[in-house]
Amino acid sequence: MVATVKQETRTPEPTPPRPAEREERLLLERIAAKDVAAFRALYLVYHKRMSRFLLRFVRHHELAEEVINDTMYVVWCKAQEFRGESQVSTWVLGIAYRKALKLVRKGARSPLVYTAVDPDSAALQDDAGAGQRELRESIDRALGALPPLQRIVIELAYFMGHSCEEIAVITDSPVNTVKTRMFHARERLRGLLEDARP
Amino acid sequence: MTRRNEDHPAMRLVRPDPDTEHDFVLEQLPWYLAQALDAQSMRRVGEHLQHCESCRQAHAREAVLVTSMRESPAVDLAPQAGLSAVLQRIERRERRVAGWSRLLAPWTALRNTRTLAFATAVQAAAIVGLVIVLGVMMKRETTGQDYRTLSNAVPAHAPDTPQLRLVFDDRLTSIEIRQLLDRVGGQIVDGPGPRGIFTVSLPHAAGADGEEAQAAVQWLRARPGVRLAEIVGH
Repeated sequence: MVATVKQETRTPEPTPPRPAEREERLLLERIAAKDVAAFRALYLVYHKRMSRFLLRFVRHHELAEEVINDTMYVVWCKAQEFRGESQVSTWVLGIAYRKALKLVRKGARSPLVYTAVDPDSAALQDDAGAGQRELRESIDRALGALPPLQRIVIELAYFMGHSCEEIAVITDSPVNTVKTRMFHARERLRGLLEDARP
Repeated sequence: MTRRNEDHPAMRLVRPDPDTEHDFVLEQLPWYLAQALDAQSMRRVGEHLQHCESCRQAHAREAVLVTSMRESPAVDLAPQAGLSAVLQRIERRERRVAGWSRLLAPWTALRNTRTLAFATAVQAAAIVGLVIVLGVMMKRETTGQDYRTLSNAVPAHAPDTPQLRLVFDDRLTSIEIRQLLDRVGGQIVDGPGPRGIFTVSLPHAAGADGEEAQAAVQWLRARPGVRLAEIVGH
């Protein structure tokens, strides 16, 4: 017998704020007051975060840099418009997503240059390390084979830890669309990773 | 009771139906692994995983993926060059904004002081004055007084008023044409036609023996913007 449990419709409890959120909001308030030092600090935090996210999306270093800089310029110009209705990261990544999507739709594509693995890394010299490297390479290839919109949902959830609702805000899509993209991405990843097995 | 593996949602190629506990858990797994679910859903998924072998396998499979993705070395995009570029761009923008602010400063100051009422009164007076001037102008226009166009008809055309046929260079403006005609006392009575020909009368030369008309033609021919000037009927 299959137990069926009706999904509850009441509003879920809010996800607790990330520890860095309060700090980022303060930085954004200072940026709204044209504080360049605060901008530098936020830039360095988000450069690291966006680099990977955008490389997965646009798949080219220069394009990723371009999107990061355009995004942070918008952050400077629009910081006063941030109302605090979402997390700072959701707001910033939403700007980056829209800018990157424009590039992807324009057809700015090139071979995947993202390399997650340093082959000289000492940690990867033993057998276990080599196995891990192979796995990562397989995952990278499989992720690279996904359509960009599915790839980005995977990246935002698995790597960046965003909730389904946050991803919906970032990608300006309905929650159900995010779930559908996630489902198809997982199915395809599973198939691709199984095919890659020796 | 656990379902057979091939019947389990994790084995299907259609999006799960979240009305069943298995499907709910399967759909939420990525966010469970990312710890991005609300507390209640986290608990619900966790409890289900404790007694469902198939979902545990799906969880383990995806955990490998998540761990591997998270352990990937950082990407080596250097921030400093990008930061410098953005800061320069911001500096340029702020200079532009400051420039505009300086230009608008008097108005802004005016708005923020008691002189706003005075400024509003001045504005209102200016608008009233403008309305009066426009009203007077419109009245004069309807009575036809002193309103001239390039092609004003000659009111009473005496039969002996000499007329000129003129063609101007296309680059001449209407103001320049009017200035030329004023110099010879000409009034347009016809044209310009399809070939750009104007017929111009010289009321002040009426009754003269044609010397004045001839002099006007000579003068007009010497002007660089005049391509043709001749006396009609000659």
